[in-house]
Amino acid sequence: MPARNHHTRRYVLNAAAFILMEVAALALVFHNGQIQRSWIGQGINSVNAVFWGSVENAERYFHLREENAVLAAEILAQQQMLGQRQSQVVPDDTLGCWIYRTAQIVKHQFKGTHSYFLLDKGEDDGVENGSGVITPRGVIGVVDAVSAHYSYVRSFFSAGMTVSVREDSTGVTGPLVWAGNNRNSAILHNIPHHITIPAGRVLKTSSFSGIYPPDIPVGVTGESRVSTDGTREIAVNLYENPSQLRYVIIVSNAWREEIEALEQ
Amino acid sequence: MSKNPVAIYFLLVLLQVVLSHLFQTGPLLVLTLLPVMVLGLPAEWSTLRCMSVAFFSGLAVDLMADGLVGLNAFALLPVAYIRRFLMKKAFSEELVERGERLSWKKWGWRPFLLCTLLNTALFLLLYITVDAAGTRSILFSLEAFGLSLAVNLVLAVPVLALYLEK
Repeated sequence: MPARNHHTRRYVLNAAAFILMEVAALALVFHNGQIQRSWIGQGINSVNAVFWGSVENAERYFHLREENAVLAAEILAQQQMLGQRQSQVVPDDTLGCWIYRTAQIVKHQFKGTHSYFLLDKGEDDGVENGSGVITPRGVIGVVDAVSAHYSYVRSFFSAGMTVSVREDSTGVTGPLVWAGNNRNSAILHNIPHHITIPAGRVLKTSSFSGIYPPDIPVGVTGESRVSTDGTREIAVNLYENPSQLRYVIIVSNAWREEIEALEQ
Repeated sequence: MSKNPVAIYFLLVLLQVVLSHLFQTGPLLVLTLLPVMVLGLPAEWSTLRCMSVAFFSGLAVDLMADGLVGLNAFALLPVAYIRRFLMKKAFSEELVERGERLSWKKWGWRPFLLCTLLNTALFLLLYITVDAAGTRSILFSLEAFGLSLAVNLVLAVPVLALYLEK
């Protein structure tokens, strides 16, 4: 062991002496050669640029969390502006005023036919039971329980969850359910068999449920087939992949109580 | 009578200075005995000792031959740094550890050619690159490297003959 330590010490000493003398020689070249001075200067500048560039990239990487929060807030602002504009143009279709709140997913679980999310916003933040949870690329679920600081969201990727969607060119509306096999597939049910929707058409939320705002793109249509009950089923490829999500938007309908009272 | 490699080394430093003064070859040809001279230093010498000798002799050549001060020292230091490792691989561990004298008869010409080739190539690569400092084309630098390597390998033969035991 002492012999090994001695060898290591000798290697380190040699390497240190080599670097020291090589730097000294380079410094002499730098001071005595005009062309070399400019060339070495350029080299040092390039190394500096690469080093500080990497440092900046690393800093940016560690600030991604904050930037994501800022971006989520910007998306929220855009959604609110869009919602306000739509309510001014087609007030009958928007079911009133939508309130948007960004939230971060603190936990998610995809297990069998039941999956859920826990969000970092709760009653204290104004979240209500029954609020919708969306992203700009689709529908995520419904708030099923609320505590002071957290919300439990029953995911769309669970058995029994439906979202009312619409295809614009045909005007067809139907319930969309999770296909149950993977996180990117859903099925549009109960379409009259004589109506065909070509593959590649965009499906958007219809707002008939009153939980989600209208016109959120959800996915594109795929193959269709006539089911045993005589209605057509259409496969849908969803835009959003829930397993990669970090931020979502909670949407509440400000006139929901009024609508529910009227319905009763 | 046994040869004194240290004395030969310092005589060769003077010869290198004279050579640099006499033959102003320009950037296409670099005439140097320094890499093969480092190879001829006593085999048992430590890396640190060889590097010190290489640094100061390179600096001496630069100063006395009116060259760019530091250039020979810069190019020669890595040659001295890898010297022991190279000799252990090309010759044997024993030669370095026991400090045996180099001899044509015992080792044949192959390890000498390998060491001289690698030492000279490393030296020329650094020398030509720093001397050009980005002002010459890669093609010109490659030509200079090839020509200088060929000429210096020929020059290395009498230098090695000075060092070696018969």
